[in-house]
Amino acid sequence: MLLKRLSEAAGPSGFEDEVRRILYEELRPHARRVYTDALGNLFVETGNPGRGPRVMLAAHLDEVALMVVQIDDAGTLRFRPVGGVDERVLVSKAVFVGPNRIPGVIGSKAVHLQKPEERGKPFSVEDLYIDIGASGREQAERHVSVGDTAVFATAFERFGDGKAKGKAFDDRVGCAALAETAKKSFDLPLVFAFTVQEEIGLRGAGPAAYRVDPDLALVVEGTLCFDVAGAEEKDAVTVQGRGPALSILDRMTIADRAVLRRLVRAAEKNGIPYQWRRSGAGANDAGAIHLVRRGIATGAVSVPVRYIHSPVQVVDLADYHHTVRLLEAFLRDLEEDPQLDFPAEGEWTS
Amino acid sequence: MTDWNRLTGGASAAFGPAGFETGIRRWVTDSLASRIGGCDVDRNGNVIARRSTPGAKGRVLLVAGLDEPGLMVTHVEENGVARVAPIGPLNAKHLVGVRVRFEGGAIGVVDAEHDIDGGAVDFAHLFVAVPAGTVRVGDTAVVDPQFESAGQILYAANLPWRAGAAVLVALAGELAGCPYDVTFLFSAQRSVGARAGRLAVFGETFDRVLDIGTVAAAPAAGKRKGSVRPGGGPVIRALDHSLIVRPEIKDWLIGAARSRGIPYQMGVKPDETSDGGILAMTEGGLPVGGIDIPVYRTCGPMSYLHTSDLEQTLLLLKAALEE
Repeated sequence: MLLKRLSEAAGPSGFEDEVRRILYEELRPHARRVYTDALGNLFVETGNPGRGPRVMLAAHLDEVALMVVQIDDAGTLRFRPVGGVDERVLVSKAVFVGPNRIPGVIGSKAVHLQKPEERGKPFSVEDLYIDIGASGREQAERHVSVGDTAVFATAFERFGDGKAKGKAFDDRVGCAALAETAKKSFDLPLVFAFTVQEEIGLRGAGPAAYRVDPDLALVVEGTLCFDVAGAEEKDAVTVQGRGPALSILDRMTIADRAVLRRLVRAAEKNGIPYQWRRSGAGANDAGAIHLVRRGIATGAVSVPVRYIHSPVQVVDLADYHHTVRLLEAFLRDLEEDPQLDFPAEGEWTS
Repeated sequence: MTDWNRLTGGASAAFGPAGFETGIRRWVTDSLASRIGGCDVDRNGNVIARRSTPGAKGRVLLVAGLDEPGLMVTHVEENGVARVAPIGPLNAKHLVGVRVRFEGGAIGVVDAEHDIDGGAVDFAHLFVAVPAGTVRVGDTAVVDPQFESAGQILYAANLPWRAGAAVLVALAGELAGCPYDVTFLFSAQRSVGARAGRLAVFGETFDRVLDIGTVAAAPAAGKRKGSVRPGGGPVIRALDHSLIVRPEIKDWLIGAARSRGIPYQMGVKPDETSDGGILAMTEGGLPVGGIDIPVYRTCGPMSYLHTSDLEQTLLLLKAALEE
């Protein structure tokens, strides 16, 4: 399964090579043109260049990760997060370090050495280190350099009632959904943009959109989901099993209503469940894309991801499949009716 | 002299949180029709009006914001209570007990959960009490502006976001004798970080850009050292969060003020991102200055300004454009 390969591949921000290579190999046979830019964004062009509108579908390659900043005399590795890692969940997690996937474990002061007041507090990143089993600095430096990155060593696995667990579903679910869509035939000029460095400030998507200069863009993401026991509906943001979540507002974007209406129309015409992404928090590549050139009509569709940005994340595979269906339905709808309307005054959809 | 009470009252009453500038856009386009002839609305919601002069001395862009901060409904509970997220800079602790107005006309009152034990109020604790069935997810609201005038003092919740547009609308009808080609840009989504304005003039160049906004003022003269005050005249901007104004632009405005005897103040607003600042850094960059109207903002959702500052800002702009 492509999602498994993508999830298990390493792709910290700025180090997206492994994920990019998988997608390149996977999509090259289906593409009219494949290329990268100076930042490492991957572009896959498909469809009919003679028709319109030109659509850019975007998903980011990178994942939150760690970077080695110092190698101690004992051979342990001090690190800093790359992207928004929840430091409280790091202790005792297995990681792979560097391009050679050196196995490591995130260590901390032993529990019997902790003072009572320390036991009540979560570890901060300064208290933690990566143990790669080296006997000292010299041995560690044979395998690892300062500047190497580490990703969580989490195997993808299906479990429970149609769920999957793994790392980096944010945004490998988006990458996988785009890849499935890129293999289908559409009578539209499509550019699939697999972007870099989203997790450290949406850095790759703006230049990607500038290069593609699309008529409209759709970002496919993994997003916040807190629908577990004890959580209130108002705090859930999204709920697994209710289908793809459509963004209405986040920290960087006020949703384009014309695109949103078309997403809703495509979902309802095809009986695809959908939900609103019910929070103003967070951001995704849409925040950068919609402000390029004269402004690009941009929508965002997300798969709900429990425990996002943590070593083990959970998705509902039905949500994923409905997201893939929604992408196709949206593009078929655009094939039939390529005209995007200016948002009607005061109109909203619910 | 401009009827500032009527003009500012009209701008204040028009609905328009960022991204949902429906009402204020209509007010601006209607107001411009009789003053400058016509205008365009781009797909990002900006309003652009252009006034050409044969043999023009140069091109000037004048920018003011359309929108104001607001709230968006993110969840509606069974009893009709609406949970909301902020659109732009609204502070949760200032909203408790405040009356809000939804785009569809519904009125709500903001309240907070009572189990927060003296902790900081944030949007997770806030809700809007509205009659059940009147709002849906995605609906937007603003703090009810409650515009009122008392002599030369104007009160409303949204004056910090609307005073600039009122002055530019007034200026659009008074450009006789101006030797420049003038472009008016009423920008959407200014209050969320000046997002949309730059898109309206992508690929264009201007000899000068002036960003017209407001600046937080002290309630009275001498209240705070170095602060500007309502009634003290327009504030020539030295910097904002996104902009350091070049000396020649400030000198241009100071010279215009002095030559016409227009009172002015110098000021900064280091916490606010303006369209001007974004434009200064966009593409090849543009020479940008700013003029701000002093507005006193209370800790709660209410503000006031002095109409003489609106008039003097208008006169300063006219003077600068005749230089």
